[in-house]
Amino acid sequence: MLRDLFHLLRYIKPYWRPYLWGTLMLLVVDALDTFAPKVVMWAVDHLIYVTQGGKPAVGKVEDSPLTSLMPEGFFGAGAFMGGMWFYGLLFVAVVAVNGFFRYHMSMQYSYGAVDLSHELRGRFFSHVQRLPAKYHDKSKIGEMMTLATADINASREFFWVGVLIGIDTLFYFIMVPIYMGLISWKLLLASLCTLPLIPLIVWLLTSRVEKRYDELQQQYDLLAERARESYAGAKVIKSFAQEGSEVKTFARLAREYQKRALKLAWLDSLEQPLLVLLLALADLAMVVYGGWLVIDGELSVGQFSAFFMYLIKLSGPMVGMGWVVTLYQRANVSMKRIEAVLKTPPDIVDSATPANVTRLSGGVEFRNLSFKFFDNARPALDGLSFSVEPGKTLAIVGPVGSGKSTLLNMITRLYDPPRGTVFIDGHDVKDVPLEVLRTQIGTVPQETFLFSETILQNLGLGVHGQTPDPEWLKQCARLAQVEPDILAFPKQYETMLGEKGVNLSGGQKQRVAIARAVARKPAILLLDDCLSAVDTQTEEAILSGLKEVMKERTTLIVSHRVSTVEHADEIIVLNEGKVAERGTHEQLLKKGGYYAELHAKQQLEAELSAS
Amino acid sequence: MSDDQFEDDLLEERIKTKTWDPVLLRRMLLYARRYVGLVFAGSALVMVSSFLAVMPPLFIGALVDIVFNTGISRPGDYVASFLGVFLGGAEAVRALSPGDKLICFGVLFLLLRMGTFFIDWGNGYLLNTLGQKILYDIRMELFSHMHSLSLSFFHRNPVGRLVNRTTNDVGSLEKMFSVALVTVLKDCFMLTGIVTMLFIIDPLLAVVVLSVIPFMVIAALVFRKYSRVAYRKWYTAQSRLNSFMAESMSGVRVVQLFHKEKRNDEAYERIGNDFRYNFLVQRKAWAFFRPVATTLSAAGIGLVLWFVGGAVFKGRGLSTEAELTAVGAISVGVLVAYLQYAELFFNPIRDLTEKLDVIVGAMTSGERIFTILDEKRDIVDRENAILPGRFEGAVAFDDVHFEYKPSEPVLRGVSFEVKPGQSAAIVGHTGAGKTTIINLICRFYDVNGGRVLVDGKDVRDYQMAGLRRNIAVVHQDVFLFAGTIFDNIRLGEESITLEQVKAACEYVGANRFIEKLPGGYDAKVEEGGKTFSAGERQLLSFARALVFNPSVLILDEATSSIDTHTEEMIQAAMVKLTKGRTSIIIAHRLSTIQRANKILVMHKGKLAEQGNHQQLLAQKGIYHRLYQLQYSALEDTPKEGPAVNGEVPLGAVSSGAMRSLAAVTRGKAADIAEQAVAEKRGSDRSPVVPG
Repeated sequence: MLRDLFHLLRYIKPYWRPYLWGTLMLLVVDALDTFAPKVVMWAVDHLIYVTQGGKPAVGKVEDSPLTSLMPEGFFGAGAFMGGMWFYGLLFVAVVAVNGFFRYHMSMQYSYGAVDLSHELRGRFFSHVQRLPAKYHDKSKIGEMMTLATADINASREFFWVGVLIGIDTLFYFIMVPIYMGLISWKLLLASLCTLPLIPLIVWLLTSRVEKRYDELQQQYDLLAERARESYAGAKVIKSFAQEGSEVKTFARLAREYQKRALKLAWLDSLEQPLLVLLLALADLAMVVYGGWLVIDGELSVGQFSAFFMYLIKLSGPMVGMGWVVTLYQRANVSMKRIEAVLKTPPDIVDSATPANVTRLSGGVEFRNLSFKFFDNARPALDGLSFSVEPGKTLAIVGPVGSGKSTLLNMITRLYDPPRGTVFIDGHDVKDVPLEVLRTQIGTVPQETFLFSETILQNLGLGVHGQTPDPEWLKQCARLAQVEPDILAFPKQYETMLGEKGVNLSGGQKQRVAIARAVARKPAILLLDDCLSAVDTQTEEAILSGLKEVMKERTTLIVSHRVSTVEHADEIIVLNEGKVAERGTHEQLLKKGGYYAELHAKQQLEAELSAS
Repeated sequence: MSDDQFEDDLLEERIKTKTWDPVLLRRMLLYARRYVGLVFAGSALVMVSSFLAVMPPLFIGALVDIVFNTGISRPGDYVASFLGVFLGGAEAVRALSPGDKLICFGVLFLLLRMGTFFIDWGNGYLLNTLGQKILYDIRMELFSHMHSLSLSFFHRNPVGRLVNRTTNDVGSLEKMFSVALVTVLKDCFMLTGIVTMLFIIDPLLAVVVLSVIPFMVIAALVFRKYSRVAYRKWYTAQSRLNSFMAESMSGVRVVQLFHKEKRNDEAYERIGNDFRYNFLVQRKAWAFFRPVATTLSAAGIGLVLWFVGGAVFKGRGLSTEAELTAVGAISVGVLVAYLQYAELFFNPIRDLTEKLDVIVGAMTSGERIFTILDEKRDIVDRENAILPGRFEGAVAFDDVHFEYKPSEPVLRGVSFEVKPGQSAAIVGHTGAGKTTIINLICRFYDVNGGRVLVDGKDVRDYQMAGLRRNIAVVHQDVFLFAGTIFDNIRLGEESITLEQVKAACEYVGANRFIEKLPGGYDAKVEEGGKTFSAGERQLLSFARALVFNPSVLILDEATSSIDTHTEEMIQAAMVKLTKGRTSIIIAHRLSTIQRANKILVMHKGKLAEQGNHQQLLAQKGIYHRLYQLQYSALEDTPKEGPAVNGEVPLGAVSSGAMRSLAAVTRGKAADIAEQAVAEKRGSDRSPVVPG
């Protein structure tokens, strides 16, 4: 527990300056805060001293020490309003000065905590986007976002409010008893005797509450799970007219949830009143014993009422302490989750002995390439060996799950192939610097992803080094047959995409993505089934345009459509990670295998939709 | 947080910035109507509790005045007369020795506090009970309402969103009902109580203390205006940052492929800094407001000190108790009581602002929930709909027109008829309207024109539950629930026994793999049924359909890849399943098509041809072309031989022609099935097996 705490506190180290300033100011704030009741105490004592002519009926007689400090006649019956205005003003002044320091103290802590969380979030974000695709396959964006938002916020709350209140409480527990002890140490002991019970009871209660809370949470999860399934299986439920029994099952779970919630509420609603009661018991000790001390003449009435104020001042931090513990626990869990991600190494990095390549010419070769996503999964690619000469076009077809996309991902090292299996221009792909690899290969992924920027910015995404030439980008858009669509928007190339802008259709998106990949003048162009939402005519136009641009560059094209691949220099049919057929369009048709059948089917489909 | 939820939150941030809506609040509060008693008891207890909470300062003031004899004051008078009820009059109380007085006060104080403790505890529990009851009602209303909506509702809304409504959103109402409302109520009572007390004790002094209130209100208003602007800016900055990060993470592959990581780091620095800056601006407002508020409340206390001084020294030189009382001076007890009230006064105000936020949050959730509850049930039973008995099984379409979206017709005047006990196979290319036909028979949607008839009556004339109970649908993608095999086959129908389930499983041949599972029929099925192969899931869904013993069976033949052995089992099971009842099958296998009494060829939303295999071939129309093209594609395959008897998928163009090649060699599944039926016939006495 303590080790975890120190571990967390180490995060503060680089931001020690605002934290130090904040703490110094907090010291002043707390000192003034504990001083304020003293002013009231003096005022009351002075009032009684003056009104009762130095002979009060009950209690110790004690004039305020200020009376002797001030010039004769400043206080007392002869003065303007007995000098009481001075106490009033003094009290307000103390609080106001305190407020000044409080503001700066609070801001200093805010600066520290916000800088800390800003940089932590940045580190997290920067790390996550460098993690390999393999990692992202397993994690959900929702979870990652929770880490970047809720968990970072939880840690910020701790580094800000948690630390502040923690130190505040510490100061209070030192200062307030000192002030109280200075007035009367006897009364201090009497009134503090029940206070140690508070943390004890809070602790006892909290552990039980937490257990019941866990039970409730479990039921909540069951409830959520049931709801999820029930909605997901709505079709089945409707088909068999089982809505009634579904509602019955859910009602049973909801009842149980209610039962557990009430079990929790029984304890939970005890906590606050019990705390108040315990504080009140301290009050009681103070009333009876303090009253007795006043009657005995050991304590003045002003001191008596000041004691009350001090007790109230202690009750805040007492409750606050529980809060600090909660904040700490949350931050601890959150930071552990964040650290777990930060500790995940970004596997795909530059080789220790990089090849001396700066410019790719586009030769791709696979040598006995096998690849598995997991250790005991069936191989996604199984002993592939073939090569593509620079400037040639290779097409890959095959059923869903045959390894087509995986193969393309090997070339860009989105997934890392084993050493000695994938070569670019004769270099092992693992020795090619990532920067070279990922700036000189243009990819159009299967699922088109555009950013919420302008169309022009999206087109220029892949162009590195200098500001992309808008004319060139527009030329690429023309090549991808998307310019007429773009010009139809009021803002044309400056149209914002995404949530706050225009939503492009699937086909438009694909075409923008093609233009984006071409715009970077890649040595190798990878097209992963990226014409599926484009009609055949447009497709033809795009392909012939590409042919022009890709004359001296290599193209690998994955498709389900024969029309897309038929003009390729070579066509490879993949099945279960292996090469099933290879050859040109004509050769494969003659062979009468998968490719021939695919061709027949698509002819049939074309004929059907034409009729 | 799931992806769905995150998306949800982004989508609905517009609602979040909205604040107070009395109509919505009223609607939420109306749920308490059913628990008038609890509401009443709760409010009464809250009142008592606030009353007790207002007492301690008065009490301390009285203690000072009475025990320490610092003057005559109203607090002293009240408490003395209260104690006098038990001790023989207020005068008797004042005459007690200081020590005895102290004991009286101690006892009174203890009782007061204990009373507060029990009342608060009980009240907390009571209000939680109320909150939970309301919550249960809302949750169940929401759940059953959703299930009464048509299938199109579930298509429109992602599952994640619906789950969020049922869990998170109902949950935030929970906080409102069990905590926030009560606190708001209590704070209001407290404020009223304190102000009343101040006036009762000393009207003049009350005016003095409360004179700072207008300044506080002004300060609060200024703060609110400023902080709202700051908050909105901060909120916008936050959603910008979140959208940016979410986008970068969901597009992480593109980010990596286009080497955008460094540029993203820079963008984070920019966007994150904006967020950081706005957060601090928003913080500044808070950090500034608090000291202002405390200084103002201190000014209240300062004024009291000053004014008390003034009152005390009004008659200069008057110093004895009697003289002071005569000029209406203020006792020390009153001063002490006032000082404490001033401290107490600002707690409820702070509390109120906090709790109002919770209520506003609940409003957002309430609005989301009501949006679903207000969703009209578009497919409902007619007023005099009849509950059908067992159907004969005649199914007919009479010039049916249908569209999912306006002016995008899916069915354009489809008419056909399937006689009881017959089987019909629907074929056609993707999007021809095959699935729509089965959706209409089950009345998942209502027709836009024409009629769907079952046993000669419009399906809209039957009660839906009765209609669907008579029709079983085997979907292409089998949905399995988390639970046992037994549960998954009988679903929620408790009248179906384990014996019936076992018989059904044996009949379709699912028993072979079920019995191998640990626990057999009680074996756990994981959510989505991931542990079963596609074929096994198919067989389970067959058993599910069979055990309900429907008079009409609707089957969407799976196109997913299945090994030869399972394929044969499924073919055999399908033959058994369709025996003795009307069956309508979206067919992908040639053998299935050939077995059907009638083939319905769908083409672009119209029934292009119908008849049996031979008739349709003779027509030389679409079916013939379908068949020919398929056949000619295979003719070139020397090793496979003619495919006429094989399993050639016709409908599924995109998925696995590869597999169909293998299927051709398998051949005789249908024959095997017939054989299996013949073997079974003698021994099978299961009630679910059709005659």
